Amino acid sequence: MTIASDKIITFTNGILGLEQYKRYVLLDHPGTDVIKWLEAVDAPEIALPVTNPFYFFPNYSPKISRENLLQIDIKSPEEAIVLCVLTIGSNPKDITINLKAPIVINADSRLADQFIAENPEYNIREPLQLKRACSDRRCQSC
Amino acid sequence: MLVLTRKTGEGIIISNDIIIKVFEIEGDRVKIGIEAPKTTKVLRLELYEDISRENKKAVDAAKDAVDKLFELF
Repeated sequence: MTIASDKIITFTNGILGLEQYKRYVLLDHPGTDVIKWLEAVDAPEIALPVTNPFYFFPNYSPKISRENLLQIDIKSPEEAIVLCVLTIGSNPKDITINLKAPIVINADSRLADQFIAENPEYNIREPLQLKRACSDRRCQSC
Repeated sequence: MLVLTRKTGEGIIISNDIIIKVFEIEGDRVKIGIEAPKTTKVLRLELYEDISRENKKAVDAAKDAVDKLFELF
């Protein structure tokens, strides 16, 4: 697979536990715009399902230090794309979202990293009601 | 792993710009101070390990698991 270089997202440190992979692409999942895949360019078997957390938690506001955001050249929130990793259990109804460690992408330079939100109320494994959010979205477009 | 013995008030320096000092020892708890460049990530190990494990688990969720999700609708 050849990937246009302007689509590549480069992680400065890396996704925690997967630091050996620095270059990713964001791929659509057929039939939905809620779930996307963050796939390692050099190892396609490494792919994380991610979502826009604001679909499910409209008030989500992770606290990340300025110094951290400056590492990926982000100076204001509108420059950032925020994604959270989903973990799907063996029963696909058991799905959780990692609100504690969002992935932040600089929309312009495509630099990214996974940061830890200082908010004590955010969990690594927050249960997610996928169905509800998706049907809400369908209503909005009616 | 390098193992060093330090007393209260003593410390170590790592590659010129990271200083770790032992502030206080009380029972099985040690209070440590870390001085590092602002760009250096400093995390509690168990938090790092927990998030690492969760990321790896997320990778293991096969693509067909996501397809199954949408069959639930």
